[in-house]
Amino acid sequence: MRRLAWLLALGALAAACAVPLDPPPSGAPAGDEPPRSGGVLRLGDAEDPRYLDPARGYDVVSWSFEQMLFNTLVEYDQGTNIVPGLAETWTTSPDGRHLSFRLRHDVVFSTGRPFTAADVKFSLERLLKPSIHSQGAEFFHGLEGATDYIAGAAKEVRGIRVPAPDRVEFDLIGIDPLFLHKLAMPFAAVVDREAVERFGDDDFNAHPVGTGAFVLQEWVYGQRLRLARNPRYFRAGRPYLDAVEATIGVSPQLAWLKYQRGELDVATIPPAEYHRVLADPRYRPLLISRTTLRTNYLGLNCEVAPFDRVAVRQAMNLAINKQRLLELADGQGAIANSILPPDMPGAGPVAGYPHDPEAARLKLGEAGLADGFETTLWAYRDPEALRPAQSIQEDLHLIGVTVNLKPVDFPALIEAVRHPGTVSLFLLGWEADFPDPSNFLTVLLHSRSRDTNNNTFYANPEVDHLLDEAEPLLVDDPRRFRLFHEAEVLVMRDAPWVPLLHPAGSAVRHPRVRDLELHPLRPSRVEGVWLAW
Amino acid sequence: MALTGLGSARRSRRFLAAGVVLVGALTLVALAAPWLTAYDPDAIVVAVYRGPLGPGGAHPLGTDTLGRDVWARLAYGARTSLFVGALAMAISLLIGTAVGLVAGYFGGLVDAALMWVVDLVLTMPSLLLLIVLATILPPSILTIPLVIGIIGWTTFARTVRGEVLTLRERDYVQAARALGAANARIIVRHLLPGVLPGVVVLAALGMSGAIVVDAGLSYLGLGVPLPTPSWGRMVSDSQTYIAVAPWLVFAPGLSIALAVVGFNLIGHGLIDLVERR
Amino acid sequence: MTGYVVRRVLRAITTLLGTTLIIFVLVRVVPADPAVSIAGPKADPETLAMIRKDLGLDDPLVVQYGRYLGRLARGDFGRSYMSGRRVAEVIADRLPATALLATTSLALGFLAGLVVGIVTAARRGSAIDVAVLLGTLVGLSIPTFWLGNILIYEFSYRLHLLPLGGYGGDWRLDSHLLLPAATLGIGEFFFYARFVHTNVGGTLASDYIRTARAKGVPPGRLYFMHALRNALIPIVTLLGLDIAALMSGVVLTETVFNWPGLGRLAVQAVFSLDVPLVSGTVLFSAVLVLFANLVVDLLYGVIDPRVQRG
Repeated sequence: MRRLAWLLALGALAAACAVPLDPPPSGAPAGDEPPRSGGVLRLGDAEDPRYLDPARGYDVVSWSFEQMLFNTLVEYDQGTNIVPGLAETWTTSPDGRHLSFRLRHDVVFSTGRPFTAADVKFSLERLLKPSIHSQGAEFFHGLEGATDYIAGAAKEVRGIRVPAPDRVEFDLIGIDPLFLHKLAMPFAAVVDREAVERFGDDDFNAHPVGTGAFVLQEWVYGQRLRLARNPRYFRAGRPYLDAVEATIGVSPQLAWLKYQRGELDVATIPPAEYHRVLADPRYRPLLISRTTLRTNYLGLNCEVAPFDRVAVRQAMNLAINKQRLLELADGQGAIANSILPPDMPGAGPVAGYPHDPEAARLKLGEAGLADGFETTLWAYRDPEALRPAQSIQEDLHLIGVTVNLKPVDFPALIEAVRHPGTVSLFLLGWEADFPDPSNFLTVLLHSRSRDTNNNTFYANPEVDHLLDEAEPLLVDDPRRFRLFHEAEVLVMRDAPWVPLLHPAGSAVRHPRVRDLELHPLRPSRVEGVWLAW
Repeated sequence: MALTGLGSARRSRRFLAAGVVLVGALTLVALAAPWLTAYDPDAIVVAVYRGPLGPGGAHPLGTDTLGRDVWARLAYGARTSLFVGALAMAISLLIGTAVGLVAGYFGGLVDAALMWVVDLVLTMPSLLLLIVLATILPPSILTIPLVIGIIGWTTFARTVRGEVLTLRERDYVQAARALGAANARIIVRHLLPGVLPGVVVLAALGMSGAIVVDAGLSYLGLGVPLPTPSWGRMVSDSQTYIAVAPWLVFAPGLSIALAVVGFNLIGHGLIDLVERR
Repeated sequence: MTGYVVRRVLRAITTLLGTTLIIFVLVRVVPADPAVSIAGPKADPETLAMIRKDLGLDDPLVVQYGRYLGRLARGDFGRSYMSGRRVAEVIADRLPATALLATTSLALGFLAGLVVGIVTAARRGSAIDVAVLLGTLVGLSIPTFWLGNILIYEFSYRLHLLPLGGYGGDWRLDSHLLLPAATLGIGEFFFYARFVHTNVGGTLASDYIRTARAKGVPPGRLYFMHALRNALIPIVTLLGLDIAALMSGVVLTETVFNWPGLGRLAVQAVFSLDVPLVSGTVLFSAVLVLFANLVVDLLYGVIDPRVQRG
């Protein structure tokens, strides 16, 4: 009996040691061969994609699948330049308010029905329909007749015209230098009207039909999602892959183990393994890094006490130890002292706030809250997201602010922050949809965005004015970026946010995966990916 | 469900002693926590965070995924476990004993109704009911024990009722009734002392049960809110790091197991020793 | 017999009604604004007004309860507002996974516990007795979620023997099931081992058995005919009580192993603030437990006719 106990104890001790890092799957990571057709790309996800309907999806996972199923009029190349998609050529009128697109003739939906300009009109009008509750609708409010259509005063959007089956034309209320970028967003993807009419707006999500490189072959909720090659895809020879298969219910840890065993083709690196993997030469050729145009921030609801006072918000900015947040993120990224990520075109230096808990206390005293106060921080309940939340909780505790953490699921979080008066303090991030400051400043901090993404309900007429002035200016007009910068400085002074980090992401690929490029603005386009074996 | 004893008084005493040692050690750690560690359990104590640190040096059990001292969190976590366990058990004890006394004594419709309620509570999968409550009530160090206590009183009720059914036929009880004593007086003066030994046993077992349930709730993220250290939460926070820092999962889990074993040993040890037939 | 069946079924029905009442109260009465609670924070005022009208939230509570029961009877558990799908559908999706896990764990644990319990009961020497009692006490003290993690650590990370959670899909009894079933089953094993050991041991020591032995009945028949049958009755009762505990264990095990069942669904629903899904899942589980208990009780009535008079 006693010997057994000793054995067990020794075994337990030996067991409680770290497991060595396993090697990645074997195989040559790169080569000279030309792209080869065939194979199934195997992915893993913890949850089902929230949406496959382009009018609804606004998160990375939904977009990655939507891009496989649908196309937009224009697209991005490897970088941030606009290139043709479903449209071959386009012209803009001298006053910038009218755009005319000539569409490709060789595009058909996956059902075989030919694609025409009427489908473009249908898709955009569907996007604007109030019953769809699309977050992308706001990008197209600049179309003439859009507001009437939304209000129900008109049966169509008169600013979208279809003079011929291969021509679609847009009339805008005012100059919109970003209109092409907006057309490149998955919101503007072309959907098949017949499928929408057959399944209805709600169920189109489970039966999506588009012009994309893949079609939905199977979706078993909670288990797997399979997209097969669309033989009718208009880009000859693409996609290389036979299919993309996503196994659902695969946690990041499981995905990592499966990846190491060669069962998954792409995986994110679990934070626990970060240091070891980045230092391991066996993994180096398989690393894919991604610098994103993203800012993670602590949002302060400017309409809820005590965050309705500037001094309090500034105190919050001074109290947070961002260096430690960066350490908790394993050094992946950079500290954020401004709204815009440094790689954003038009981003300029902003003073920001130092880490100074003493000064933070003084500020609280200024606001009459020297004894501190209590509040609730809403955060995504993923253990990785809760770590920075706890660090922040501790930072604020040191200046006398008691923070209760409320972990919620991501969809619940982004819905709750829209409700005025519901959430005082929240942890979120924003990733640029297109490479322009307005995508941060106007979308997140203009007072008219309070119903959509201005979740801090920040409203400063001076800032609004600067943003409105800058918006119609052409991108190469020096005033544009100058005005945005002025607005950003004002915002930082008012401190509705505590900008935290500009994170970078890393992933690893199976050696057989080739040409998987990470795009700064969008999930990777899978149609160019091929498997070497 | 009748609890069976260990069969021999000597064995029972041994179990009881072992349990007392374990629980005693646990209580000691909980009470003396501020002296057993120099660190604040919620404070991030590493100068630069580079991942969890292993046991050794300034940190006897290393640091966790946020840079906090593990031993400090373990020690203060003992306070949380004991407090929540004790409060939850006390609530279960009070409700259950009261229900058992009333049901057993009055019998008839009252008994049937109360036992129906017991059935009701027993049928609901307890953890799931706790989950519903968690959706509705804001979690705090007071609401969690309350919720656990409200779910866990049925064992007390059934056992006490069973004992009362036997006791009320006893001579002194019959005599008191014949003399016209008030019901309340009979219950409190004659029946209550009789059920106490059984209640004490259940109290010990109730503690172990409450600790387990609380640990499970914390593990799911529904227990006492952050950053209050809680053993169950420590397990769930670090399970993704288990390959790199397994002690982060082993230590809190072992603590839970030891606490539960301790109270179970006491409870089972007491069964034979308190029975007076 | 019929009297017993009727009484038992009646009791099950009243308990079921009680359960629905509890859930109803928790969902409709406790939250500040039940419409928001049901529709979710993203609902606009028109949707909220529609929900109020649709669910009759301005009607007297009794009427609301009646309507709620009517809906349940038709299988309408409401709509999950996170996915928009009908709760009944979502539950149906996840049920097979939980059923597979629960039945496998119970079967493994029960059978193993039965065997060990019987074998050790036959050798009721002091050392073995203590070993069993102490061993099961310790075994039952191990938190399920901790055990699950340890098994994952040993078998998935260290030994690379078994997959790390996830689900094989449909009714496959494959390697994905092994660790979760072992985790949940081990708890069941200790539970039944102790009980069978004590009960069968007690029966074997009884006069009835000793008389049989004295008369020369060979040991084999003794164990498997007499002792077991007598011990079976309380074991069957135990099974009934165990089902509820099993459901709780399932929640933790599914979370550790990412098993796509009802337990994990309920937890996810909490963090999605998805009240209809949470209440629907919990109610459904309660119904399952009720039904299982009813079956067990009726079985018990068949095995031991004495209880019918109870």
